[in-house]
Amino acid sequence: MNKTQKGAWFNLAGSLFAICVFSWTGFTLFGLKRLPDKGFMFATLAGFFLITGISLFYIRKKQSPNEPESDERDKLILRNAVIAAFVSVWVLLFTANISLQLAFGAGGLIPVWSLRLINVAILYLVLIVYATAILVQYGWGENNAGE
Amino acid sequence: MPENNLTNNIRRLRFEHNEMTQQELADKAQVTRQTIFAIESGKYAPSLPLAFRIAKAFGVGVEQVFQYEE
Repeated sequence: MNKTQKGAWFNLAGSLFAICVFSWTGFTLFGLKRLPDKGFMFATLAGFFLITGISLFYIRKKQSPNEPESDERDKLILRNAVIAAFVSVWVLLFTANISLQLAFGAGGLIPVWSLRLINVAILYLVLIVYATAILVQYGWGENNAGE
Repeated sequence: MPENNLTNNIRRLRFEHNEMTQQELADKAQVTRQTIFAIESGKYAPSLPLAFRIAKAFGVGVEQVFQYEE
């Protein structure tokens, strides 16, 4: 795997991990109405350091001493992934707005923290879309250099 | 997805040049091994500069490496 692929895997792992942590924390705080266990917090910290530590070592490791940081195909794949992520921002924002309207009605009230939660969730979902777009393109292959 | 009419002899040329590996060719062409693999298997059409660098790595002309079929 080259650096771009490794970075995408790290991105995907980190984003999925963050979404799981936030989801469980939110459920514990607002659903079960209690603070998360100490064990869960240690597991979160351990997971964070594990993913970061492995990625810092693994991403830096090169296939060859002359391997470039990225080549033209990597740039093309990254460009397409950015486009996919940009489109997903709009789709997710629209979906979030429609969902809120359907859940609470046009004149409904929601707490301010829920907006922060929605923004964070959208951020991580966009990162997942970005990383997935990169990995899928490496699997499919791209036919058009220089477009 | 547009049809890729570009074919290449990279695999054959690699074997003819002291069984050059994909990584060695990638180092000479200044790209990653994955890009060489994608070009060889017809999944990726290289840019003109890259096509010339690959041809230069084999010491042959671009037409001997890549062929365009109508």
